Formats: sequence, C-alpha cells, structure tokens
Amino acid sequence: MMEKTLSTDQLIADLSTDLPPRTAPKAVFSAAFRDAHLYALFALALSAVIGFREDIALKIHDPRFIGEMVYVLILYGFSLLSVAVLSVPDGAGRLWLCRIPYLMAFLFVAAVLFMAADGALPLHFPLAAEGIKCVIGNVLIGGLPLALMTWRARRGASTRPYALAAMSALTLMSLCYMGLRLLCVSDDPGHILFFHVMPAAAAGAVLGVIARRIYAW
Amino acid sequence: MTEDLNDPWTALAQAAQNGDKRSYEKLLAEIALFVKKSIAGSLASPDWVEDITQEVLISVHKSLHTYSPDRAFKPWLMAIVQFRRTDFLRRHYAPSRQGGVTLDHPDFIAAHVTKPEYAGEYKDVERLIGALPRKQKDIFLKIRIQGHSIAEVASQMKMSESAVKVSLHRTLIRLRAQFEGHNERITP
Repeated sequence: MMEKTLSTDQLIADLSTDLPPRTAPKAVFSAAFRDAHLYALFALALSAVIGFREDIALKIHDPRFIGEMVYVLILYGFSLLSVAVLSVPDGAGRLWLCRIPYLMAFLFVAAVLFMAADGALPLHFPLAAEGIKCVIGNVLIGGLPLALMTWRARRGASTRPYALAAMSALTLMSLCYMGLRLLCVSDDPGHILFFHVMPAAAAGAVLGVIARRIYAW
Repeated sequence: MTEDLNDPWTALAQAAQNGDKRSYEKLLAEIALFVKKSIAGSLASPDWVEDITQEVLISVHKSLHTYSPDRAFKPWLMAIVQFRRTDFLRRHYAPSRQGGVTLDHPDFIAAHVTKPEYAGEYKDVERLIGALPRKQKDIFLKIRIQGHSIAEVASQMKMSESAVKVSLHRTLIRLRAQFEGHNERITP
C-alpha cells in the first residue's frame, strides 16, 4: 500500500502559506442581470442582421404573440438567474429560485399540450427539410451565449452540476425560442417544437451528460 | 440568520479573502475538525474521513472567491462537504461496479504471476500514474520523481505555487484512493 505521505496539518500549512489575493465576490444577481441583457441583445441583433420574419409588423400587435414572448422572456430571466445561483456552492441562499423555471416550463408545455388536445393548436410532424434554417438559427443564436454561460459557470464552484446543466438548457431553449420566433415565419407548433426547441434541448441533454466533468472544480 | 452571520468563521473567511494568512490558517484548522466530526459517523474508514477532509479543504481554497460574507458561512461549507463526500464515494465505488480482478483471473495471472517479485506492483503504479490527466501527471513526476521544487514547477508551467500544491495534493489523494481500491479488488 502506498505510504500515507500527506497530513491534513501539512495541507493546511501549504494552503495558507501562499494565500492568493481574492477579489471580493460580486453580487450574483447583478452579474446575471448584465448577462441576461447581453445574451438577449445578441439574439435580437442577430435576428435583425439575418432579417426578422416578414409579418413582424402584424405580430407585434398580436396579444397572443406578445404574451407568449413575455412569458418566455420571464422564463429566460429566471433560468439565467438560477444558473448564476447554482454556480455558487450554497446557491447563494436562494435555491428556491430554481423551482420557478421548472414550474414555468412545465406550465408552458402543459398549455401547449392542452391546446393541442383541444384542437386549438394543430400538432403535426413536420418534414426535416422545412427546418434546417431554424436548426442553424439555433446554433447561431445559442452557441455563443451557451459558451459564455458555461465559461462563467465553470469559474464558479457548483455543487449541483446536473441542476446547473438543466438550468443552462432552459436558458438556451428560451433564448433560442425567442430569437427564432422573431426570425421564422412559421407559427406551426410542430415546427416550433421540432426545430426551435428540440435542438436546444438536445444541446442541453448533452450538457447534462457531461455536467459532472464540465462543471468540475 | 443574524446568528449565523455572527459566526466567527464568517469573520475569518472575510479576513482570508482580504489576504490575512493567519485567519485563513485558523479557519482551515477549525473547518478540518468540524468536517471530520460531521462526516466520521457516516463513513466506513478513518482514511476516507481524512481524504474527504483534505478534499474539502482544497475545495474551500479553490472556491473561497464564491463565498460572500453577507451570507452565513456554514451552509456554504456544508454544501461543499456534501458534494465532496458524494463525489468521493462515487469515485470509490465506481470501479467495483465495473467488476474487480480476482487472483485467479487470467489477466491477473498474466500480468503478475510470470513477473519477478514486485514487478506487478510497479506496473500498477505506472499504470495509475499514466492514467492521470497530463498536467497533473507532469506536476507529480517533476516534484515527486525528478525532485524539482514547487516554485520551479510553478515557474516552468506558468502556474501559481498554490495551484501546483493543490494539484499535487489532489494527485496524491487520487493515487492513494485508486491504489487502495485496486488492492481491495485483487484480494481474494
């Protein structure tokens, strides 16, 4: 057996000998708010560069569309706050926040399924060729924010890597959803589900699988 | 909550964040005792208690920047303790889930029985070192095998001395845990 060469006392002495300077921790929420604006502005700017959907002038006067966007915007905000909270070991004492995005996402899916069952939303399986542009849009809108979000989370010290991956996925999904609703002219729920939501969800699933490695510290 | 904020650890942690080494040493020493007490009852081996305590200390060192003095210190610490404890047990039991190698296993016979005495053990050590991440392996080999000082290695690898020490400690803990696990698996 390998000889026990380490003692806790020695470790303490080693660690405290060269204590590196620590910058005072920034408020978790203010950083998250800044990031939320940054990512949303990026998605908006990118949508503007690519070109908004043709009927955007009509859509911004449609209460249902506005309501849907506001709901997803709130979901996005809360999930990004949850990402920030989960990047700290004790969740900054606000772990209850993470329940809100779960609940909002559940209610959103439940509402879509309810309306589909009621016949108000005709769900159908779209053809793959219909959605290639939207999948690419997902990558363009979500790629950079996901990378930045993951980088920031890795600078923290999460003790809940799977929850952090789930919240990152929800943030990504909501951001891509909003961006693509401004870009893509289709209001078909099947198209939205398969080409606006699923690619981001798949990226989130991959993040979940590697969560323990990627958020290791 | 007010009571928690008056906890002496909160003040020590804040002082440590401001660069006070004595406060930091005192904080780590007190934490070590607390962690040992809080996990000892739920672990099978005293060695595990020691290993997890060291992991927690290293984690506190690495994540001190995430602690905000306007929050209680103990919940922050306990979150790290639980995380490292779970992590350690997961690592410890993971190889046994994949099935151990017994003395009558052909792989074990091929690797050990036909070799000179101790050759098998050296091979195991080499294999475990070889499986380390590249950076960790380099630091370990330079300091423990080639005899370089921590300062030299830190300079060569463009890392802080603190980071080199943490890496070395982690490597030693990991090797010891893996080697003990290996010995347990080959015991008939």
